[in-house]
Amino acid sequence: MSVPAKSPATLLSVRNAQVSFSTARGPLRAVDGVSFDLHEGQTLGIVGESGSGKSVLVRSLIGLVGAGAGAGVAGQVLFEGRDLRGLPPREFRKVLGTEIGIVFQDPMTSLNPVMKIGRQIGEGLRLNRGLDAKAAARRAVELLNEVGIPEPERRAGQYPHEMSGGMRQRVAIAIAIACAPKLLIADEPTTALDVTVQRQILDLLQGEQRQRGMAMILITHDLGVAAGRSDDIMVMYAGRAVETAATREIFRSPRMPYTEALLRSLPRLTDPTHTRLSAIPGRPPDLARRSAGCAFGPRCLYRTERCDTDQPALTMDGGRGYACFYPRGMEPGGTA
Amino acid sequence: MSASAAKVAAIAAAGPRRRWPWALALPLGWLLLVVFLAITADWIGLPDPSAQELILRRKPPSAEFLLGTDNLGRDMLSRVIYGARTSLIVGICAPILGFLIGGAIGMSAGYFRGKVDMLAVGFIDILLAFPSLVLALTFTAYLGQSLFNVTLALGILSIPAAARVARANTLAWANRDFVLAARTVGASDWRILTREILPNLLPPMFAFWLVAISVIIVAEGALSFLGLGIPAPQPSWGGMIADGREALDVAPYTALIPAAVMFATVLSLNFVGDMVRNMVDPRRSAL
Amino acid sequence: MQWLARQMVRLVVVLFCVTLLTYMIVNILPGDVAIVILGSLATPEDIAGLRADLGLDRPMLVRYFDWLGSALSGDLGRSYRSGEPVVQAILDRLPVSLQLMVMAQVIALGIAVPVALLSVRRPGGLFDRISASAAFGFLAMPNFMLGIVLIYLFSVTFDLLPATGFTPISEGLWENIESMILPSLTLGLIEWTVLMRVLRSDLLTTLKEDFILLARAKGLPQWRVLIQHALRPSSFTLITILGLNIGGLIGGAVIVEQIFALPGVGRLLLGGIFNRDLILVQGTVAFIAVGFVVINFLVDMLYAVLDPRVRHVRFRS
Repeated sequence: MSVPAKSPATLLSVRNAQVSFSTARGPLRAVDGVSFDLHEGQTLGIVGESGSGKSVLVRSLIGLVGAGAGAGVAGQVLFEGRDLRGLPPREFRKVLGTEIGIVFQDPMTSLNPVMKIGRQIGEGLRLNRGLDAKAAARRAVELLNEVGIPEPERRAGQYPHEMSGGMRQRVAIAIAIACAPKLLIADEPTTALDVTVQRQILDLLQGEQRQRGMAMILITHDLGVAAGRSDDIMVMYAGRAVETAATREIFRSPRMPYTEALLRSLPRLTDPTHTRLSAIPGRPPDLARRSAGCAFGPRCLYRTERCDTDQPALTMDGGRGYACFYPRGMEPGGTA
Repeated sequence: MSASAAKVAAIAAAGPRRRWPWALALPLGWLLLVVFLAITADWIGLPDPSAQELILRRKPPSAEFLLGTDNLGRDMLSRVIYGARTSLIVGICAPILGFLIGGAIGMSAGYFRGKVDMLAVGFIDILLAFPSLVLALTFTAYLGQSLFNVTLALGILSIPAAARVARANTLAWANRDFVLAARTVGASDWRILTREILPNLLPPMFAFWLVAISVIIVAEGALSFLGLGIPAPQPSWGGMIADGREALDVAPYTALIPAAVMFATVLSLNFVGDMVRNMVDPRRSAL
Repeated sequence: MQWLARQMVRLVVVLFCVTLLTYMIVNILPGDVAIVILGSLATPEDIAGLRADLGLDRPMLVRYFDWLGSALSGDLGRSYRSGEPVVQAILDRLPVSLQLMVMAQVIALGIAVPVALLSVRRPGGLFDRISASAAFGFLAMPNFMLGIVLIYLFSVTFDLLPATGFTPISEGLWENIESMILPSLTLGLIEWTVLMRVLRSDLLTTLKEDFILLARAKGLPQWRVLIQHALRPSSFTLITILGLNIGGLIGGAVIVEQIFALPGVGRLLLGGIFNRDLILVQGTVAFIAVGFVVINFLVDMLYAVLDPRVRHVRFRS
């Protein structure tokens, strides 16, 4: 992990997070022992394909995994030193409402369709910061302005379907930062948006983060999105963290074959025209039926026998982590 | 929700398999008992349900009269059983009428579409334009009260529901490939309807029939209760409840016993019907 | 707009057919109206004379149009028994029936909404399962049976409420409510089951939506999420069901008015039938049927206003 100039406090500390669902086919481990730390002001990008467990991981951290759907959650989550999972529900909700803000993927579904925008923004303020209706309404308009929505007073009285996708996502961001949280979680914030709008939203997120000194977890399946926007990246595959490193390092010298393959699949402007998109062959594994060996094995170009029988643990090596027996760019034995 | 997180949650929510119901034994047993008694009523030596013995009126249940006697001294047990017979006859036959006619209408509407569909829909709308009880009682009031007329009236009332089920299912099936295949081979419409479509309608129609039985039994009960259903001396649960109403303060069992029997039967029918429906047509699990 | 015109045309056609059908059923029996009026001692000449007077010797269709014509101008004839204009008789009794139906719906909603909300807090939990069983049980009860049981419990055994009779509001609000509680409960205690199930199902679907997740992410407590976020989008189906239930409610009102001797339209109808008061029955059934059709039409319109997709569906399944 990168170590910034002065050592800021650890905001979030996750140890061995696990989430499993009981299904008709047996227990399904969506998240299988993930650990990481997040410091104040730091941006962590969590990258992975669909089904890698990245969304489920983050939702489980904040207690939002589908209620009663037979979900088993384990592991330790420390926020500012407090064990979130051990908190009584009221306390937990308070922390959730005031210290953590979340932006979901699709603003069309994450906003209440029958409630006015202003009220949706002000709700958290009224409940968690004790503002009265008027003050909350005023603050909502200020926030709309801050996230770059023109005519904020008028917009505050509108419903979500009266706005464009990009604008709705700005509203979602406004809701997330309303109570001035210390941690902002953005779960695929741009996936449901037009390409032209994506950059604006990412810029907005980054801007708000810097301005307010928030830490951010940016979840995405697109390495390109994580590229310029995060300090560190954690690559997830089949419910586990398979590589963690500072963003620069990941792009410069990925250790995991999976990461390498992901990088390769990114189209570049410098590629000659008509270059075939290189996709990773195969599909993500069925999480209900895990095999003994490395989960990425079947799709890995460098697979050996050992990869089918033993599962590589996450090896930490001076700020970087990788889960591979034969990390790229290193001699077997671990010297770079 | 990100697609995969949603998928995961959906699999989880599919839930455990439905437990094999012990609870099915009780309702099924009750139903079998009722049916058995109704069928064998004539042969098990019951006293005449219409025999009045005013001296013995309103006697509570005893060894001699297992369920007591009613206002006119008639044996309640025998009346309840014969009443069961009436209710079952109406309950079983009326829906059959309903889906013979309604099914035909619905299938035609769903298969031929166009004008036929419009006419069918119109006809059904008109039937549905009456609150059902009002239509039924007008019918029996003016066409005469008899077992046949009650069955006929309630059968007509079940036409719309049957037609809807038939139409919806026909619409779903008529566009399937195997029907198109039959057409290209030159099969006639009649053949297609009877050979290809009808067999696929049978499960939902059967499920409909089960639901209809209990609804019709209640409807017949309501008509008889109002005095516009099964005509007087013939025993029927609804009629017995109405009779017993007058004696609620002195002999409540005269009303409560047929009420309990009716409730138990309808409840059992609903329960068993629900189970069967889940097995036959699992998409339509309980609302 | 074109769609609206088509609906109106349909409405008129249905109304026409409904009234015609009513007229035909009621007048189908050769059993003679004239005999009923004059009594069994009347001479054939008297009967023939009265029949000519009343126009009973004309073909049915002609008589129907005659009746329809008067009906459209507000005259449904006069009752044989009382001589009272049918329209008046109906209008006098309409408030009672309406009060009954409204109270029943209020009770049904008053039970269904809280029960649904509580069931949904923990789906599959104890309360959910108990309420589902209770709903199942109440749904299986015939309304006349429930009425009798309620009378037995509250009037006969505990003497808390009157078994029959109606006290109009003018004679005391409390007495009025007292006389209406048992009847409304009879209908409401069965009505709530369907409402609750529909609402519960709708709530469960709504609760899977992302905006519910966001509401919880704001730190809102569960009850707030349920009431302020989940309830509104889910009540759409509820309103439709309320409208669709009116038919059953009308039939139920006929029964309940009879059991509890309430002077409503249903009782008027039954009285007319038992007294062989043809004109009264004709008018009352036509009135009920027309009212029902119009209400359904309004509910359909409301539904279409709320959801534009419905305008293209011709057959509600």
